[in-house]
Amino acid sequence: MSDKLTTKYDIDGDTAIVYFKGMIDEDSEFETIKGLSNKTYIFDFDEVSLINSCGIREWVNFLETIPKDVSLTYRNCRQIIIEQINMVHGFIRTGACVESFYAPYYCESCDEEFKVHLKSVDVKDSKAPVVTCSKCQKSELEFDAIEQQYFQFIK
Amino acid sequence: MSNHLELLNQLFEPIVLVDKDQRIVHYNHNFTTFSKLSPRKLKKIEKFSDVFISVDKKIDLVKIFSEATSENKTVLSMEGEVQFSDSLESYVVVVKIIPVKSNEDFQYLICLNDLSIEKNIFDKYKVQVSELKNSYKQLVHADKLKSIGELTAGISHEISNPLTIASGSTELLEIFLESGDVAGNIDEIREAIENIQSSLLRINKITLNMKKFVYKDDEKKEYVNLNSVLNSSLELVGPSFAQQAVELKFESSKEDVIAYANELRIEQVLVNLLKNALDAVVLANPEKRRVTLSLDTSNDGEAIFIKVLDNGSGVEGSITDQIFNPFFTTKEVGSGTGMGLSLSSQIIESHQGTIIHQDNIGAGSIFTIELPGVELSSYLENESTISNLDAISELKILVIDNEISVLNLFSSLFQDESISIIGSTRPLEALNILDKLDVDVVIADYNMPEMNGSELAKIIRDKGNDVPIVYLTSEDFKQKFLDDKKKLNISSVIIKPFTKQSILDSLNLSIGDSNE
Repeated sequence: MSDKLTTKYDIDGDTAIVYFKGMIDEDSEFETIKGLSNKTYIFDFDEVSLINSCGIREWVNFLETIPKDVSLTYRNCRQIIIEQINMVHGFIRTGACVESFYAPYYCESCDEEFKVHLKSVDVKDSKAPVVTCSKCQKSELEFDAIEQQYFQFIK
Repeated sequence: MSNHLELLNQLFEPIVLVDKDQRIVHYNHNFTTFSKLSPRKLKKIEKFSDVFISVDKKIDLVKIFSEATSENKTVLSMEGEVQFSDSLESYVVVVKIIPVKSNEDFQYLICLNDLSIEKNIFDKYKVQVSELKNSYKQLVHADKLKSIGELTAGISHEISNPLTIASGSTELLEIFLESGDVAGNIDEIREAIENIQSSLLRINKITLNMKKFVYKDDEKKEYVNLNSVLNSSLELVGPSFAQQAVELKFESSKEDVIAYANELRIEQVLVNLLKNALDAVVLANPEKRRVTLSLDTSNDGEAIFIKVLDNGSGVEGSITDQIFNPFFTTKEVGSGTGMGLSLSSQIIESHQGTIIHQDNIGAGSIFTIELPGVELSSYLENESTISNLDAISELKILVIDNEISVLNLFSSLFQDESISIIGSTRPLEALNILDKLDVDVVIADYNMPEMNGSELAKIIRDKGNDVPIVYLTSEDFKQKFLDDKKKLNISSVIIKPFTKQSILDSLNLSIGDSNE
């Protein structure tokens, strides 16, 4: 099955919620959403499987077609998206906000990794929120990345 | 040191710093992002070579690390495909190991250059180029079919003439046979039979010509006489011209104009140009409807000119720079695809030539095709092959023979070898080529109309050129080789009829002597 990027969107008043699925790479096109003229865009990255430097270039070019006065929100950002947000200038436009994202955690008791869904507002002073393991229900999960680097985008 | 580590953290490249035992001392943030190995996992790794596996076995990290540490020098790996531990994703990388002095000891910077995207795009590019080439071939074929479709009316008219003659002659034969007086009408009977035979031959030739034009399709070039190529084109379009009462003239400055070309592709270009000229003349309808096809060469033989001149409607000034663009047409929808001139232009470019349009004096157009002379075009064709080879040990051989079948034989015999054949049909033009190019051996037919082998060899030697020369001749003229062997330093002789092995033996002898 092809993992080529597909986009679909829902319109709710002035807001367009855009859902991305698949790989954001050199073959990605954003034509279906370029013509939208909403005041607010919410980009949902929950089903994005991969993003590479060519995809970032396409994404940045797409962002430049959106008028500056449009409000942008990034939602359900996968770890790969957060990593790009932290590394690439222009991936998240000035004024845009990351509403929610996934962060890597680890349970020593279960010896298992988890991608935990967090809201940006729950992160204070670049400290990873305390999360209990959903599997063993006992252990506190260890944050499995460097906090200062991972939560850089929130600054 | 902490400043240096901070500097590493700012770099885009994934970097790891290890000690001489490959224990990880430091890694930058991009390394964790790239490898998808969290700090927790990296803490557990005892030595760096445990971090990834070389999927295609092209990167031996242990070996290159050992080389870097033993000689304290920067070492670069080959490009290879790697997978990081616990991950199924693979990357194409080059690894660089740089020794760094730290206090009294050495540490080693391991830098990973990620080439995955370049490789991916390159692979896609190759696929797309291959698809484009296929599409181009299909377009060329479609253009041919369209041409034949347009010429069919004229061609079927052309066939009906010999059919009528054959039919009439058959009726006559019936009459003579029914009369019972065969002996008394023997001359008329013979004439009728001859008429039938020549008519059938003519029909066969017309249909074979059409079949060859439509169905034969390869890109191979060979030595051809352009006079016969142009005549074939005229035969295809002639009936259409006759039908429209347009005079079609052919002017050629020489009997033999040899080119290194794909005969059918050149014919396709000429058919396109001649059809366009016919349409233009019919549209303009001048008093004297005429199209002229001419063939000429430059004085030094380095260029060949083919011109199609008409006194038709001409090309408007505002569109002259568009006429060679794909899909550009002035005809109504359904009447022209707009690909004829575009494809013709690409075909001529693939022959290292040019095609231009000019206004004809008075009215109409002149399309001029310029092709490189046979020596230059066979050299250029071979040079493009040479530059694609990894091993540069191509032998360049200049073969001079007025028979193009001999040149084509040499080309075929050595097409898959590391031997590049440059062909020439005229000694004087071959001498021009020798003044400009370095070749490794000259093979010359002894008996050529312009000059014989001895005369050619003497001119070469008088110019101070000591290139090995081999005579190509029959047994009867072998003595000439023996006479000239010492006098003109002729290396060897190839006796006709020759085989590939006899040529190779002769070359070995010639190259061996020249190396001495």
